[in-house]
Amino acid sequence: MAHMNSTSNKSAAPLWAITLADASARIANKTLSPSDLLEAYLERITAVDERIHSYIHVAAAQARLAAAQAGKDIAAGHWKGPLHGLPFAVKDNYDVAGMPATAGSRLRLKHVPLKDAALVQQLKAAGAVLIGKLSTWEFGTGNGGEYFDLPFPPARNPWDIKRFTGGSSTGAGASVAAGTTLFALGSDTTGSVRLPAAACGAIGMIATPGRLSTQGILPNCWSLDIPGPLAWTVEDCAIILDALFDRPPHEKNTQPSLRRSVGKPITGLRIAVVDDPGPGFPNADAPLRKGFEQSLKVLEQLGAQLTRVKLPISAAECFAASRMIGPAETAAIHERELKEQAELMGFALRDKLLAGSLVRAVDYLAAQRLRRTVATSLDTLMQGFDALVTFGTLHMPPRLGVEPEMTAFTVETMLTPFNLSGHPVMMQCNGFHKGLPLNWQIVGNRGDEASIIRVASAYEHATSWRKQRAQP
Amino acid sequence: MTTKAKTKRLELSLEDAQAFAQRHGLGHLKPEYIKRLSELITPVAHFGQQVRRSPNKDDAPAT
Repeated sequence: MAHMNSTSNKSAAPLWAITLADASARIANKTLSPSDLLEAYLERITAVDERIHSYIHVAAAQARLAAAQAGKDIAAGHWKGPLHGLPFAVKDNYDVAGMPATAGSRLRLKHVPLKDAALVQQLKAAGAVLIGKLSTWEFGTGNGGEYFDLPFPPARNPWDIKRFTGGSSTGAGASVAAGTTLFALGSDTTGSVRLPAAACGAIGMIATPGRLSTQGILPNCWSLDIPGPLAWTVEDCAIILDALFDRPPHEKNTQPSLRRSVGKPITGLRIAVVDDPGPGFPNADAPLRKGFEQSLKVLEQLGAQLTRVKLPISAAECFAASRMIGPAETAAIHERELKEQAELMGFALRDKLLAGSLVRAVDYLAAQRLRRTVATSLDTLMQGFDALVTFGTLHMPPRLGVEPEMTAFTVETMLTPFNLSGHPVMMQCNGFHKGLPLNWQIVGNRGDEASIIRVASAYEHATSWRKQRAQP
Repeated sequence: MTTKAKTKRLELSLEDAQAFAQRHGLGHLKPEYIKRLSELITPVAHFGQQVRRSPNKDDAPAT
């Protein structure tokens, strides 16, 4: 147990606020039972979730059974690994056998899948304990706005409940930040894991496409859909990805685990810096710019070699391409629902499907051709670097329901270039301004999630942002 | 991003939107949704035109 030294049993933090790594170590050394840990989260849900609405469905009875079984197995010497006995929750567009999968929609209130999504299956096999299903924009998609017209109340930002969590994995961001789960799974098409991570101050990461299975997640866009974990620390994120990465059998014993990259020095690492979204989008808000520059200084002090570069294709143009690909594919996937049940949808989903119905095939294909160009040009740019850092959102978390602010937060970002290119990327909290989290992104070369973990953990260890927790 | 003049020129009339909807199996949508369809053509067309075209005819789309 090489990682045990990095955890402490003397922490004064309440159980809902300890890290995944800490919880994992305590459970492994039998100083904490999975049932006690689960009860701490269920109590936290009772205490705060009526204010933040991070959950659509809490499966307390099933979770208690699973936690009790995990406790018995561990006591009998059958510890399955770092996630054994740890509670988690999933966005409600993931299938869980026997549990409602509403995807936040009136259209699917009675939908109960028979089979677990592949990632849920993997986590259950690793011994993790599912607490329930998390809030989401309808069908895990939307148009940036919040219209208060869905069957469940919208999740609220734990740092300020009048503010937006970021979408579409709204509950995943809120729950990790508020401590109503230890970790969560969300899904991203053009930012839906990273926007909630940004607004709620959590870690949100998407790996290289293909490394995590999308099977059993309600599709939104075949070209761009990608699942991802949200957690509180970089090490926690590495532990989750280590459990989920679908490696071919011959690689299982040779690929270094991501967790081994935690705490490695970054001296001499070559890091590209993109500090300009390019034409079409505004500069980042002043607090985000200040936080970004201060974060760069931290990397320099840690010995990284920084080089300012420009994106080969502007973030605004990438966003325009995503507006052809995303809505067109969503409209194709849910065409029947638009034709037969449009009046049951919320405004945001219907609006996206209507817009997708208007996309010309010529424009869609131009966007898919540009996607290839974005991927190759970013590969070329990244060749000389171990990682790239840039802004995440260009705006601070907006007020919930104030549409211009919300749309700007969702649209004007540095997120879509990496959805189009298929590079792994992490959203990380890099400070606070007036009680609201700041954020930046760390991008890796294709297949090199380890360098992201290395840079992000070095930054995290050099700063104290993880000590602040939201108290909604 | 779009001027009023451009919006006027690009927006579908309600009749055109209704005809488009009928042509594509959406004719039974509520009038308010058809109206929204007529409004959405402007931003959709705008974003479509913002996407640069590949100079080389051999550049295949991503899959």
